[in-house]
Amino acid sequence: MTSVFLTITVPVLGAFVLAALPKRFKPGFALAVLAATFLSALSILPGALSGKASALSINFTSWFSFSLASDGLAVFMACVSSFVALLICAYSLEYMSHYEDRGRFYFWTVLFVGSMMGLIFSANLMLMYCFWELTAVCSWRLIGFYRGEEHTKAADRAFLVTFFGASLLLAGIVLTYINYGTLEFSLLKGAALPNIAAFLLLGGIIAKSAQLPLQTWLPDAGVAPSPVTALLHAAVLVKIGVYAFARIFSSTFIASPLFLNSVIALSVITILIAAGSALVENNIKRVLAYSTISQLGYIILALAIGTKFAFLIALLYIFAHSLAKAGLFLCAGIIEHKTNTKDIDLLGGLMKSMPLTACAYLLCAFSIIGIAPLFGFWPKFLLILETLREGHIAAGILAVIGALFTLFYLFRLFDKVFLGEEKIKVFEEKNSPMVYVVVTLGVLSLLCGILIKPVSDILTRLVGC
Amino acid sequence: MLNIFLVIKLPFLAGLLALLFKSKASRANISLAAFFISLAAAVILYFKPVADVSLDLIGGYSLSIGLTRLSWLVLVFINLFGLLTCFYSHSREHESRGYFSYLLWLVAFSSLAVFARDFITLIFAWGAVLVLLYALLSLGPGYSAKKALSIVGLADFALVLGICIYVAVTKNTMMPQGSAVLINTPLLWASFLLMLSGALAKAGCGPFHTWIPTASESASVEVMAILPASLDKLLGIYLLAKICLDFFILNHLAMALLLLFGASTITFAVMMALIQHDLRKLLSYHAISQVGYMVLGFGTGNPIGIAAGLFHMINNAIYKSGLFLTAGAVGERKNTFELERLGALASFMPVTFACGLIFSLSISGIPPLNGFASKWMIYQGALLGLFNASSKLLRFAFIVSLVSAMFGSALTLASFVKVIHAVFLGQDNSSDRKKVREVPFNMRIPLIILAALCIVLGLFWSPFVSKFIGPYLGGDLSYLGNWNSVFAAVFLAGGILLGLLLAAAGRIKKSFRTDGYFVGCEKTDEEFNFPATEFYRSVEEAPSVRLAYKALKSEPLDLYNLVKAALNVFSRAFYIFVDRLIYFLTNLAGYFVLGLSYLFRKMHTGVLDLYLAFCLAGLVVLLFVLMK
Repeated sequence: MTSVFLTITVPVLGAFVLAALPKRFKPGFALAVLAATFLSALSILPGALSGKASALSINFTSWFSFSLASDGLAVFMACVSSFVALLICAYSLEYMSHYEDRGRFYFWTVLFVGSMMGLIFSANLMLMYCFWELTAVCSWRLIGFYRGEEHTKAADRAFLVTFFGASLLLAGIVLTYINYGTLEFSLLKGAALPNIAAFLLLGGIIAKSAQLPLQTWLPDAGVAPSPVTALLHAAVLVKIGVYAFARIFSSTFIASPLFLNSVIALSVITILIAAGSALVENNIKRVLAYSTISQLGYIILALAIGTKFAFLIALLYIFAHSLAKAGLFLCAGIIEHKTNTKDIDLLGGLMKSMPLTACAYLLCAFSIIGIAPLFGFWPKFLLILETLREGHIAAGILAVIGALFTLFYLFRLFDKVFLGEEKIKVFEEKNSPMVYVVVTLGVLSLLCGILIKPVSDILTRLVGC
Repeated sequence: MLNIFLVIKLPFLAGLLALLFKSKASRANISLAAFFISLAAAVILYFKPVADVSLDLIGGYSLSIGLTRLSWLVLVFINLFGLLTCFYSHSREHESRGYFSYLLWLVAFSSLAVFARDFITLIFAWGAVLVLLYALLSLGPGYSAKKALSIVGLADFALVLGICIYVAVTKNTMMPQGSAVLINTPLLWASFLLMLSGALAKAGCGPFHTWIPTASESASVEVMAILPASLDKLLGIYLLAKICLDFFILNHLAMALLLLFGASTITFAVMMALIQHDLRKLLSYHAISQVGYMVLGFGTGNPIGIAAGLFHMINNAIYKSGLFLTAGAVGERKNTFELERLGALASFMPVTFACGLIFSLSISGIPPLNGFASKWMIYQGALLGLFNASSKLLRFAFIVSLVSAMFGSALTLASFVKVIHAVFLGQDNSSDRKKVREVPFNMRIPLIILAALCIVLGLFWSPFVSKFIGPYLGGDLSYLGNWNSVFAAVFLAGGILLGLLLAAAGRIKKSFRTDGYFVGCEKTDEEFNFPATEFYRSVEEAPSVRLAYKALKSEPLDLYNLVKAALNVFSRAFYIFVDRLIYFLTNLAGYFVLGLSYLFRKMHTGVLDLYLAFCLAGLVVLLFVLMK
């Protein structure tokens, strides 16, 4: 339990220590804190693999307690989130180096990771809600980092939409408490959740994971610095909703078939609408944001299928998507950094000057599309298979059409940005930590795809499928 | 196990190793050694068959590999083409460091695809081949790689969906052997059609073919020789064989569909080939046309036709990659593939000419070469099918396919008469008219090996088919007619020899008068030249086919453009009518809240009279409610 406690407290306290440090120490300290967080999360892994779930509980009232638990799902999410956050922080050392106010960025980022860790290990619904709102505050400040009118508006929109969702979530939590008299996950396990409460909780989840109809804040959030968008879109923020769904509806309550079928329908609609929108946008970050919305639809679909195997697929999907989407956003960051534009119509021919970034982009794109042997192939293929096996024929077919859209919008992006005539002259990429990070993410997407057996073995042992 | 390692893992690891070397020669030598070992291991697998190997994955799924007679045959040819292409590329300039690695990985994953005993392994390998197709085509300029990825990717997703439906229905991820299912439900029909799309797209059959001519203009000939000409055909037709024999029991409708698919592909592709003036593009249309014969063979549904389809798959891969490599040899020396700028190369490049001639005759179905043998079997299969057809639709499909096959064969010959004349005979039309040398040894050897295979398989087709293809179909093949190729070859060789003797005798003692050109009243020294590109101009301009040509050449009817247009329409609709509408409504909600806040703000004026008026109004409302 010490490791769990450290995984939360190191980044939370670290953020405040960081705020007090001189400016030049802040980036290095932030990286060290996130590295410590990742190592701390990793140290819980052996215990979770051997099936030892530890718990800590300090009761305050019947509806609130400081309860932490480290089961396989939580450890998995903590390891993935902290690892990707660490890579993003390493990337931001160069990306944010010329910003005067970068200390503020590191403070909110580290606090953000800390609140995410708190949310993951929460074993009480109310405690989870507290960390949920803390992440909302952090993301609000991170999206509005540049403080221009456009940035403030986008940040406010994100905060208001997710806050609206959080209000629904809170109403759902209250209803749950009224029904069962407790908010401890361990005590609620196996309980049948009333549909109204389930839909209210879902409202919070879809707002956080940017699913239809509460998706509009995510594309607008692209105004933030690229490490922030990568953190929000790929690794942390949007995965909170997915994690909450997994924790509430897959691991704790028994949801009704009506609820699950509604979620399946909603996720498939989200997959298609967001993928279609990605094909229309010309702003590189907005395209990737719509892609995130669409891919999260797949994860929610996997969780809504409701079988143990589908649950495992969802976790695989989260891992694959975190790696590849972080890679794509960070590639977009390098492009924006070098060319000062996000408009794909103004870009072209960057393959010659940025070959490594282009290769990393390709690897990550193949993974997101779901083409073998990249990592993303496995969860997407297995999800379609499982969806059809469970009798959701239309959902399975539409999921494949969504994958086809993905192929087209990601290659439209590649085509416009990296191929063709060079429209903006840029310096060749040389010894840049940013490039190393995106290459690492691309290579990891490939390696995890080829070495799927050990990866899936670890996951199977973690969640006991 | 060792052989499996050598066939799959060795090329894969050698590909990684090759990447580490800076020198091109080192990369080429590593690749050559790996290909050689892997080919030897593949051949040995015939004598030392291996048991199926399975690796548990997740959720009860597993990855399984194993070898059947058919997959062994395909495996050997995959490795052979890999080796020959690598050898051919040895002295050629390749800008990309990854070229040899891509080749090795392509062969490794193609081998894995034919080794696959379960659907997951198949799809995994299939996807990797798609990525490598993109990587290899990306080495050339233009947008062919994107186009190929879009079309083949679309078909691969169709294949994935088809397989998923099949697995969902049959509840088994292992590829069935001897337990094919009847296509009797809408779901199984959907699965059949989707899988068929995947197989046909890989093989380059219409309407999934359009990336091949585009790729031919920008990709190197080696890439064309190994992908659309050989490996893609082998994989696509191998999968088609699995679909038609192991996965499904074809009914009349499915057979008719295959026959008509095959017939239309033969006809439209050969018609397009006839009017091409670029050697690579012309060959690419023939590569498409030949797939039609294979599909037609499977559509017959009888053992001879199916064996013919499989045999034609091997033959086509041999002569078509040979033709592309011949084109490469010509391009190496003349730096152009335009038929109008070539000519008279036979005397400078005799080996290339002889091999090119053999490939051309073989693809045209001239006896005693291998192309004739497989086409001869296809005709027999189609005739047998026609005799036994029990429905009108099937009878109609058989007649159409027979006519198309013969028509296609005649036009193929016509097309290659043009090629041989334009490239090797006639007069040199290049701007510099310089004398050229034969291509280097490493480029000649693959041509000679492939030409020799065309002759050997043409002469000994019967033992080859009964030894390697017959067992997969589970029995002896009884032919309608007998064709003794060795006997016929002896007679043909005798005839050719006699002709040569007569020609030689004529040269020794000229028995006929030759005159110079005479135009009007003046003698001219200038030779009249009838360019080969004008051979079939009249066909293209014939009123009866002009419209068909217009449709075939139409860009908007290209599948790539159709899919792109459809996706654009849907995506715009999704974006405008859903995403932006929600955005607008969200804004509206925001403005509503702001409006309310504005209203409340305005109400709080600090004037006591107004507050009293509100209280009074409230009391009236309360009174009204209570009284009610």
